[in-house]
Amino acid sequence: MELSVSQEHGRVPVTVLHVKGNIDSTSYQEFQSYTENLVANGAQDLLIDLREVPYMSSAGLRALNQIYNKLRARSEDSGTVSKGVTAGTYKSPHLKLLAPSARVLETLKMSGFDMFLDIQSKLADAVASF
Amino acid sequence: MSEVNLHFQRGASDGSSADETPLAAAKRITGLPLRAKRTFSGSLEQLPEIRVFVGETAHTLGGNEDDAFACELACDEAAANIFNHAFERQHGAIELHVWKQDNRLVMQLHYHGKSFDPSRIPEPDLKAPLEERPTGGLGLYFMRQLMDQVTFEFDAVNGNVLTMRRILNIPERYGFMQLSVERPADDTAVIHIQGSVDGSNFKQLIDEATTLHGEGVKRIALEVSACEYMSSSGLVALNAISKMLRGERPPETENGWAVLKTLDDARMAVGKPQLVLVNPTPRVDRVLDLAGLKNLVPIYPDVPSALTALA
Repeated sequence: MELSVSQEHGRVPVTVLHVKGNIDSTSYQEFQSYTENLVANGAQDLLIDLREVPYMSSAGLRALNQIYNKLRARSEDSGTVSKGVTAGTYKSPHLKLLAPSARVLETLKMSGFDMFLDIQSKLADAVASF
Repeated sequence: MSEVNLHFQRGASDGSSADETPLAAAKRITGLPLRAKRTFSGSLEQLPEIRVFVGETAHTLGGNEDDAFACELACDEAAANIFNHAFERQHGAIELHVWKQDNRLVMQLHYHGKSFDPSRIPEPDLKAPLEERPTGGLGLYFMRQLMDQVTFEFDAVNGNVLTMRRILNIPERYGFMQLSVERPADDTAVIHIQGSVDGSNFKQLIDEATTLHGEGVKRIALEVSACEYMSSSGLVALNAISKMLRGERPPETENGWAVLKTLDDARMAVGKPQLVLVNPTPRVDRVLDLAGLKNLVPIYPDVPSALTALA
Protein backbone atom coordinates (compact mmCIF):
# COMPACT_ATOMS: atom_id res chain seq x y z
CA MET A 1 0.00 0.00 0.00
CA GLU A 2 1.24 3.47 -0.84
CA LEU A 3 0.02 6.48 1.09
CA SER A 4 0.68 10.10 0.25
CA VAL A 5 -0.79 13.43 1.23
CA SER A 6 -1.55 16.67 -0.55
CA GLN A 7 -3.11 19.87 0.71
CA GLU A 8 -5.99 21.50 -1.10
CA HIS A 9 -7.71 24.77 -0.33
CA GLY A 10 -11.45 25.16 -0.51
CA ARG A 11 -13.35 27.20 2.05
CA VAL A 12 -11.19 25.40 4.55
CA PRO A 13 -7.85 23.65 4.20
CA VAL A 14 -8.46 20.07 3.09
CA THR A 15 -6.01 17.25 3.65
CA VAL A 16 -6.18 14.75 0.82
CA LEU A 17 -4.91 11.28 1.57
CA HIS A 18 -4.12 9.36 -1.60
CA VAL A 19 -4.28 5.62 -1.11
CA LYS A 20 -2.83 3.22 -3.64
CA GLY A 21 -3.52 -0.48 -3.16
CA ASN A 22 -6.02 -2.70 -1.44
CA ILE A 23 -7.31 -1.96 2.05
CA ASP A 24 -7.77 -5.35 3.69
CA SER A 25 -6.77 -7.13 6.88
CA THR A 26 -3.12 -7.01 5.86
CA SER A 27 -3.01 -3.27 5.27
CA TYR A 28 -5.72 -1.50 7.25
CA GLN A 29 -3.53 -0.89 10.28
CA GLU A 30 -1.02 1.00 8.20
CA PHE A 31 -3.86 2.98 6.65
CA GLN A 32 -5.54 3.67 9.97
CA SER A 33 -2.45 4.67 11.92
CA TYR A 34 -1.22 6.87 9.07
CA THR A 35 -4.57 8.63 8.97
CA GLU A 36 -4.82 8.97 12.72
CA ASN A 37 -1.40 10.57 12.64
CA LEU A 38 -2.68 13.14 10.19
CA VAL A 39 -5.55 13.93 12.53
CA ALA A 40 -3.22 14.08 15.54
CA ASN A 41 -1.10 16.55 13.61
CA GLY A 42 -3.96 18.90 13.01
CA ALA A 43 -5.87 17.69 9.94
CA GLN A 44 -9.51 18.56 10.55
CA ASP A 45 -11.01 18.02 7.14
CA LEU A 46 -9.95 14.88 5.41
CA LEU A 47 -10.65 13.60 1.93
CA ILE A 48 -9.62 10.03 1.29
CA ASP A 49 -8.78 9.52 -2.34
CA LEU A 50 -9.85 5.98 -3.22
CA ARG A 51 -9.32 6.24 -6.96
CA GLU A 52 -6.48 3.72 -6.81
CA VAL A 53 -8.01 1.35 -4.31
CA PRO A 54 -9.33 -1.65 -6.24
CA TYR A 55 -10.57 -3.52 -3.19
CA MET A 56 -11.65 -2.97 0.39
CA SER A 57 -12.79 -5.53 2.95
CA SER A 58 -14.53 -5.02 6.29
CA ALA A 59 -11.14 -4.27 7.83
CA GLY A 60 -11.02 -1.10 5.75
CA LEU A 61 -14.50 -0.16 6.90
CA ARG A 62 -13.54 -0.58 10.52
CA ALA A 63 -10.61 1.75 9.91
CA LEU A 64 -12.91 4.30 8.27
CA ASN A 65 -15.28 4.06 11.21
CA GLN A 66 -12.44 4.80 13.63
CA ILE A 67 -11.24 7.73 11.56
CA TYR A 68 -14.77 9.07 11.24
CA ASN A 69 -15.16 8.98 15.01
CA LYS A 70 -11.89 10.84 15.49
CA LEU A 71 -13.00 13.59 13.13
CA ARG A 72 -16.54 14.03 14.34
CA ALA A 73 -17.40 17.53 15.37
CA ARG A 74 -18.23 17.94 19.02
CA SER A 75 -21.48 19.58 18.03
CA GLU A 76 -22.65 16.47 16.19
CA ASP A 77 -24.60 14.35 18.59
CA SER A 78 -25.92 10.93 17.61
CA GLY A 79 -29.52 12.11 17.52
CA THR A 80 -28.77 14.83 15.01
CA VAL A 81 -26.79 12.46 12.85
CA SER A 82 -29.50 9.82 13.01
CA LYS A 83 -32.18 12.32 12.00
CA GLY A 84 -30.02 13.57 9.16
CA VAL A 85 -29.45 10.04 7.92
CA THR A 86 -33.22 9.47 8.02
CA ALA A 87 -33.82 12.62 6.05
CA GLY A 88 -31.14 11.75 3.53
CA THR A 89 -29.52 15.09 4.28
CA TYR A 90 -26.64 13.99 6.46
CA LYS A 91 -23.20 14.19 4.95
CA SER A 92 -20.19 13.51 7.10
CA PRO A 93 -18.74 17.04 7.30
CA HIS A 94 -15.12 16.27 8.08
CA LEU A 95 -14.43 12.94 6.42
CA LYS A 96 -15.25 12.35 2.78
CA LEU A 97 -14.37 9.73 0.23
CA LEU A 98 -13.28 10.38 -3.32
CA ALA A 99 -14.25 8.17 -6.23
CA PRO A 100 -14.41 4.64 -4.84
CA SER A 101 -14.37 1.87 -7.44
CA ALA A 102 -17.59 -0.03 -8.12
CA ARG A 103 -16.41 -2.86 -5.88
CA VAL A 104 -15.41 -0.61 -3.03
CA LEU A 105 -18.71 1.23 -3.36
CA GLU A 106 -20.53 -2.10 -3.13
CA THR A 107 -18.72 -2.83 0.13
CA LEU A 108 -19.62 0.61 1.46
CA LYS A 109 -23.26 0.07 0.52
CA MET A 110 -23.50 -3.42 1.92
CA SER A 111 -22.40 -2.14 5.30
CA GLY A 112 -24.58 0.95 5.14
CA PHE A 113 -21.52 3.19 5.38
CA ASP A 114 -22.63 5.05 2.25
CA MET A 115 -25.50 6.45 4.25
CA PHE A 116 -23.35 8.55 6.52
CA LEU A 117 -20.07 8.98 4.65
CA ASP A 118 -20.11 11.66 2.00
CA ILE A 119 -18.92 10.11 -1.26
CA GLN A 120 -17.75 12.50 -3.97
CA SER A 121 -16.75 11.70 -7.51
CA LYS A 122 -14.60 14.72 -8.48
CA LEU A 123 -11.64 16.12 -6.60
CA ALA A 124 -12.54 19.80 -7.11
CA ASP A 125 -16.15 19.26 -6.04
CA ALA A 126 -15.04 17.22 -3.08
CA VAL A 127 -12.65 19.92 -1.88
CA ALA A 128 -15.27 22.63 -2.38
CA SER A 129 -17.83 20.62 -0.39
CA PHE A 130 -15.99 20.94 2.91
CA MET B 1 -31.47 -15.85 0.43
CA SER B 2 -30.00 -16.04 3.86
CA GLU B 3 -28.95 -19.32 5.34
CA VAL B 4 -31.66 -21.87 5.23
CA ASN B 5 -29.79 -24.51 7.05
CA LEU B 6 -27.27 -23.66 9.71
CA HIS B 7 -25.95 -27.16 9.99
CA PHE B 8 -24.04 -28.41 7.04
CA GLN B 9 -25.61 -31.70 6.12
CA ARG B 10 -22.67 -33.86 5.45
CA GLY B 11 -23.64 -36.67 3.19
CA ALA B 12 -26.85 -35.05 2.09
CA SER B 13 -25.49 -33.08 -0.80
CA ASP B 14 -21.99 -34.07 -1.76
CA GLY B 15 -22.25 -37.81 -1.75
CA SER B 16 -20.14 -38.40 1.32
CA SER B 17 -21.20 -40.78 4.04
CA ALA B 18 -22.49 -39.47 7.32
CA ASP B 19 -19.62 -40.77 9.42
CA GLU B 20 -16.92 -39.40 7.19
CA THR B 21 -14.73 -36.75 8.80
CA PRO B 22 -14.39 -33.41 7.09
CA LEU B 23 -10.75 -34.00 6.21
CA ALA B 24 -11.49 -37.50 4.93
CA ALA B 25 -14.22 -36.00 2.83
CA ALA B 26 -11.75 -33.48 1.52
CA LYS B 27 -9.33 -36.28 0.62
CA ARG B 28 -12.05 -38.22 -1.11
CA ILE B 29 -13.34 -35.34 -3.15
CA THR B 30 -9.96 -34.12 -4.26
CA GLY B 31 -9.47 -34.95 -7.86
CA LEU B 32 -13.07 -34.69 -8.93
CA PRO B 33 -13.51 -32.56 -12.00
CA LEU B 34 -14.30 -28.87 -11.71
CA ARG B 35 -12.59 -28.65 -8.39
CA ALA B 36 -9.73 -26.54 -7.25
CA LYS B 37 -7.75 -27.01 -4.09
CA ARG B 38 -4.89 -25.11 -2.61
CA THR B 39 -3.34 -24.85 0.81
CA PHE B 40 -2.41 -21.44 2.12
CA SER B 41 0.12 -21.54 4.94
CA GLY B 42 1.15 -18.56 6.96
CA SER B 43 -0.92 -15.67 8.15
CA LEU B 44 -2.76 -12.60 6.93
CA GLU B 45 -0.21 -11.97 4.17
CA GLN B 46 -1.90 -14.89 2.36
CA LEU B 47 -5.11 -12.94 1.81
CA PRO B 48 -4.28 -11.34 -1.55
CA GLU B 49 -3.31 -14.76 -2.97
CA ILE B 50 -6.45 -16.30 -1.58
CA ARG B 51 -8.56 -13.66 -3.30
CA VAL B 52 -6.82 -14.21 -6.63
CA PHE B 53 -7.24 -17.96 -6.36
CA VAL B 54 -10.90 -17.74 -5.46
CA GLY B 55 -11.70 -15.09 -8.05
CA GLU B 56 -10.02 -17.01 -10.85
CA THR B 57 -11.63 -20.28 -9.84
CA ALA B 58 -15.07 -18.69 -9.64
CA HIS B 59 -14.60 -17.45 -13.20
CA THR B 60 -13.34 -20.82 -14.38
CA LEU B 61 -16.37 -22.51 -12.89
CA GLY B 62 -18.70 -20.22 -14.79
CA GLY B 63 -19.43 -17.45 -12.31
CA ASN B 64 -19.93 -13.90 -13.52
CA GLU B 65 -18.09 -10.79 -12.29
CA ASP B 66 -20.44 -10.31 -9.35
CA ASP B 67 -20.05 -13.93 -8.31
CA ALA B 68 -16.28 -13.70 -8.48
CA PHE B 69 -16.23 -10.54 -6.39
CA ALA B 70 -18.67 -11.94 -3.84
CA CYS B 71 -16.58 -15.10 -3.48
CA GLU B 72 -13.33 -13.14 -3.16
CA LEU B 73 -14.69 -10.85 -0.49
CA ALA B 74 -16.47 -13.60 1.46
CA CYS B 75 -13.41 -15.84 1.40
CA ASP B 76 -11.15 -12.95 2.37
CA GLU B 77 -13.35 -12.23 5.39
CA ALA B 78 -13.50 -15.90 6.31
CA ALA B 79 -9.76 -16.41 6.03
CA ALA B 80 -8.99 -13.18 7.89
CA ASN B 81 -11.17 -14.37 10.77
CA ILE B 82 -9.43 -17.74 10.79
CA PHE B 83 -5.93 -16.21 10.77
CA ASN B 84 -6.87 -13.68 13.45
CA HIS B 85 -9.05 -15.76 15.73
CA ALA B 86 -8.74 -19.50 15.07
CA PHE B 87 -4.94 -19.32 14.71
CA GLU B 88 -4.72 -16.45 17.20
CA ARG B 89 -2.33 -14.66 14.88
CA GLN B 90 0.10 -17.58 14.88
CA HIS B 91 0.95 -19.22 11.60
CA GLY B 92 -1.45 -21.84 10.37
CA ALA B 93 -2.69 -23.56 7.24
CA ILE B 94 -6.01 -23.25 5.46
CA GLU B 95 -6.86 -25.87 2.89
CA LEU B 96 -9.22 -24.22 0.49
CA HIS B 97 -11.48 -26.23 -1.81
CA VAL B 98 -13.63 -24.64 -4.47
CA TRP B 99 -16.01 -26.57 -6.66
CA LYS B 100 -19.31 -26.37 -8.43
CA GLN B 101 -22.31 -28.34 -7.40
CA ASP B 102 -25.35 -27.93 -9.62
CA ASN B 103 -25.72 -24.18 -10.02
CA ARG B 104 -23.83 -23.38 -6.83
CA LEU B 105 -20.27 -22.50 -6.21
CA VAL B 106 -19.02 -24.11 -3.02
CA MET B 107 -16.03 -22.89 -1.06
CA GLN B 108 -14.78 -24.98 1.78
CA LEU B 109 -12.06 -23.95 4.20
CA HIS B 110 -10.47 -26.74 6.23
CA TYR B 111 -8.29 -25.77 9.17
CA HIS B 112 -7.33 -26.64 12.71
CA GLY B 113 -7.72 -24.09 15.44
CA LYS B 114 -9.94 -22.40 17.94
CA SER B 115 -13.65 -22.82 17.45
CA PHE B 116 -16.33 -20.25 18.17
CA ASP B 117 -20.09 -20.06 18.33
CA PRO B 118 -21.32 -18.20 15.24
CA SER B 119 -24.68 -17.61 16.89
CA ARG B 120 -22.93 -15.56 19.56
CA ILE B 121 -21.46 -13.12 17.07
CA PRO B 122 -23.96 -10.29 17.09
CA GLU B 123 -25.18 -8.62 13.93
CA PRO B 124 -23.44 -5.29 13.57
CA ASP B 125 -25.65 -2.81 15.41
CA LEU B 126 -26.08 0.32 13.38
CA LYS B 127 -28.51 1.74 15.90
CA ALA B 128 -25.65 2.19 18.28
CA PRO B 129 -24.11 5.64 18.18
CA LEU B 130 -21.36 5.58 15.62
CA GLU B 131 -18.68 6.11 18.21
CA GLU B 132 -19.85 3.11 20.23
CA ARG B 133 -20.16 0.54 17.51
CA PRO B 134 -18.44 -2.69 18.22
CA THR B 135 -15.79 -3.33 15.64
CA GLY B 136 -16.33 -7.06 15.36
CA GLY B 137 -18.84 -9.09 13.45
CA LEU B 138 -18.71 -7.18 10.21
CA GLY B 139 -16.71 -9.88 8.42
CA LEU B 140 -19.17 -12.63 9.31
CA TYR B 141 -22.01 -10.31 8.35
CA PHE B 142 -20.43 -9.81 4.92
CA MET B 143 -20.02 -13.55 4.45
CA ARG B 144 -23.69 -14.07 5.15
CA GLN B 145 -24.74 -11.23 2.90
CA LEU B 146 -22.61 -12.38 -0.01
CA MET B 147 -23.24 -16.10 0.21
CA ASP B 148 -26.49 -18.00 0.10
CA GLN B 149 -25.41 -20.40 2.80
CA VAL B 150 -22.68 -20.28 5.44
CA THR B 151 -22.10 -23.23 7.75
CA PHE B 152 -19.48 -24.06 10.35
CA GLU B 153 -18.44 -27.44 11.65
CA PHE B 154 -15.98 -27.60 14.49
CA ASP B 155 -13.94 -30.66 15.30
CA ALA B 156 -10.95 -30.32 17.59
CA VAL B 157 -9.48 -33.61 16.37
CA ASN B 158 -10.17 -33.79 12.66
CA GLY B 159 -10.28 -30.09 12.00
CA ASN B 160 -12.86 -27.42 11.36
CA VAL B 161 -14.75 -26.90 8.13
CA LEU B 162 -16.32 -23.69 6.97
CA THR B 163 -18.56 -24.12 3.94
CA MET B 164 -19.97 -21.26 1.89
CA ARG B 165 -22.30 -21.65 -1.05
CA ARG B 166 -23.51 -19.18 -3.59
CA ILE B 167 -25.90 -19.64 -6.49
CA LEU B 168 -24.10 -18.52 -9.64
CA ASN B 169 -25.29 -16.26 -12.40
CA ILE B 170 -28.45 -14.82 -10.98
CA PRO B 171 -28.77 -12.01 -13.51
CA GLU B 172 -30.38 -9.43 -11.25
CA ARG B 173 -29.64 -10.70 -7.81
CA TYR B 174 -31.21 -7.70 -6.20
CA GLY B 175 -33.81 -6.76 -8.79
CA PHE B 176 -36.37 -9.49 -8.27
CA MET B 177 -39.50 -8.86 -6.23
CA GLN B 178 -42.62 -10.91 -5.89
CA LEU B 179 -45.72 -9.78 -4.02
CA SER B 180 -48.59 -11.88 -2.77
CA VAL B 181 -51.59 -10.52 -0.92
CA GLU B 182 -53.91 -11.91 1.73
CA ARG B 183 -57.06 -10.20 2.94
CA PRO B 184 -57.81 -11.38 6.50
CA ALA B 185 -60.48 -8.64 6.78
CA ASP B 186 -62.18 -6.22 4.41
CA ASP B 187 -60.07 -3.32 5.58
CA THR B 188 -56.89 -5.26 6.26
CA ALA B 189 -54.28 -6.73 3.93
CA VAL B 190 -51.10 -8.69 4.39
CA ILE B 191 -48.59 -8.18 1.60
CA HIS B 192 -45.87 -10.80 1.46
CA ILE B 193 -42.73 -9.44 -0.15
CA GLN B 194 -40.23 -11.85 -1.61
CA GLY B 195 -36.92 -10.86 -3.16
CA SER B 196 -35.68 -7.33 -2.90
CA VAL B 197 -37.20 -3.90 -2.90
CA ASP B 198 -35.02 -1.43 -4.71
CA GLY B 199 -35.09 1.44 -7.17
CA SER B 200 -36.18 -0.81 -10.02
CA ASN B 201 -39.38 -2.04 -8.40
CA PHE B 202 -40.43 0.00 -5.37
CA LYS B 203 -43.20 1.69 -7.36
CA GLN B 204 -44.74 -1.71 -7.97
CA LEU B 205 -45.09 -2.07 -4.21
CA ILE B 206 -46.68 1.37 -3.91
CA ASP B 207 -49.03 0.50 -6.80
CA GLU B 208 -50.11 -2.70 -5.08
CA ALA B 209 -50.87 -0.83 -1.88
CA THR B 210 -52.68 1.90 -3.81
CA THR B 211 -54.90 -0.69 -5.47
CA LEU B 212 -55.71 -2.24 -2.09
CA HIS B 213 -56.40 1.18 -0.64
CA GLY B 214 -58.81 1.79 -3.50
CA GLU B 215 -60.60 -1.42 -2.51
CA GLY B 216 -61.10 -0.14 1.03
CA VAL B 217 -57.99 -1.42 2.77
CA LYS B 218 -57.00 0.84 5.66
CA ARG B 219 -54.40 -1.31 7.39
CA ILE B 220 -51.50 -3.19 5.90
CA ALA B 221 -48.99 -5.63 7.30
CA LEU B 222 -45.91 -5.99 5.11
CA GLU B 223 -44.56 -9.46 5.71
CA VAL B 224 -40.89 -9.23 4.76
CA SER B 225 -39.30 -12.40 6.11
CA ALA B 226 -38.35 -13.40 2.54
CA CYS B 227 -37.28 -9.91 1.54
CA GLU B 228 -33.52 -10.14 1.30
CA TYR B 229 -32.76 -6.58 0.54
CA MET B 230 -34.32 -3.19 0.88
CA SER B 231 -32.68 -0.10 -0.52
CA SER B 232 -33.53 3.48 0.32
CA SER B 233 -36.18 3.25 -2.41
CA GLY B 234 -37.90 0.60 -0.33
CA LEU B 235 -37.97 3.02 2.57
CA VAL B 236 -39.48 5.64 0.30
CA ALA B 237 -42.20 3.12 -0.57
CA LEU B 238 -42.90 2.49 3.14
CA ASN B 239 -43.29 6.19 3.71
CA ALA B 240 -45.56 6.64 0.71
CA ILE B 241 -47.81 3.76 1.78
CA SER B 242 -47.92 5.00 5.34
CA LYS B 243 -49.04 8.45 4.21
CA MET B 244 -51.61 7.05 1.86
CA LEU B 245 -53.17 4.92 4.62
CA ARG B 246 -53.43 8.01 6.79
CA GLY B 247 -55.33 9.70 4.03
CA GLU B 248 -52.58 12.05 3.03
CA ARG B 249 -51.32 12.71 -0.43
CA PRO B 250 -48.38 10.41 -1.04
CA PRO B 251 -45.11 12.24 -1.56
CA GLU B 252 -43.50 12.53 -4.94
CA THR B 253 -41.39 9.43 -5.07
CA GLU B 254 -39.05 11.09 -7.54
CA ASN B 255 -37.73 13.11 -4.66
CA GLY B 256 -36.26 9.92 -3.27
CA TRP B 257 -34.68 10.21 0.11
CA ALA B 258 -35.83 13.75 0.60
CA VAL B 259 -39.44 12.60 1.06
CA LEU B 260 -38.41 10.84 4.23
CA LYS B 261 -38.02 14.29 5.69
CA THR B 262 -41.77 14.52 5.58
CA LEU B 263 -42.15 11.70 8.07
CA ASP B 264 -43.98 12.99 11.05
CA ASP B 265 -42.64 11.18 14.09
CA ALA B 266 -45.24 12.38 16.54
CA ARG B 267 -48.22 11.44 14.44
CA MET B 268 -46.82 8.03 13.72
CA ALA B 269 -46.31 7.42 17.39
CA VAL B 270 -49.87 8.10 18.54
CA GLY B 271 -52.94 6.01 17.83
CA LYS B 272 -53.15 2.63 16.25
CA PRO B 273 -50.62 1.82 13.58
CA GLN B 274 -51.95 1.44 10.06
CA LEU B 275 -48.77 0.06 8.56
CA VAL B 276 -46.63 -2.56 10.25
CA LEU B 277 -43.75 -4.79 9.25
CA VAL B 278 -43.53 -8.47 9.97
CA ASN B 279 -40.31 -10.36 10.65
CA PRO B 280 -37.64 -8.45 8.72
CA THR B 281 -34.34 -10.21 8.05
CA PRO B 282 -31.35 -8.87 9.97
CA ARG B 283 -30.20 -7.16 6.82
CA VAL B 284 -33.47 -5.32 6.22
CA ASP B 285 -33.73 -4.63 9.92
CA ARG B 286 -30.41 -2.83 9.75
CA VAL B 287 -31.53 -0.63 6.91
CA LEU B 288 -34.66 0.30 8.86
CA ASP B 289 -32.57 0.96 11.93
CA LEU B 290 -30.09 3.06 10.11
CA ALA B 291 -32.80 5.20 8.59
CA GLY B 292 -34.53 5.59 11.94
CA LEU B 293 -37.66 3.94 10.57
CA LYS B 294 -37.91 1.29 13.23
CA ASN B 295 -39.47 3.76 15.61
CA LEU B 296 -41.97 4.84 13.01
CA VAL B 297 -43.18 1.62 11.45
CA PRO B 298 -43.78 -0.95 14.20
CA ILE B 299 -42.30 -4.40 13.73
CA TYR B 300 -43.93 -7.65 14.76
CA PRO B 301 -42.44 -11.15 14.77
CA ASP B 302 -45.35 -12.84 13.01
CA VAL B 303 -48.54 -12.14 11.10
CA PRO B 304 -50.99 -12.95 13.95
CA SER B 305 -49.37 -10.48 16.35
CA ALA B 306 -49.24 -7.88 13.57
CA LEU B 307 -52.95 -8.35 12.87
CA THR B 308 -53.77 -8.01 16.55
CA ALA B 309 -51.88 -4.72 16.63
CA LEU B 310 -53.69 -3.47 13.55
CA ALA B 311 -57.19 -4.59 14.57
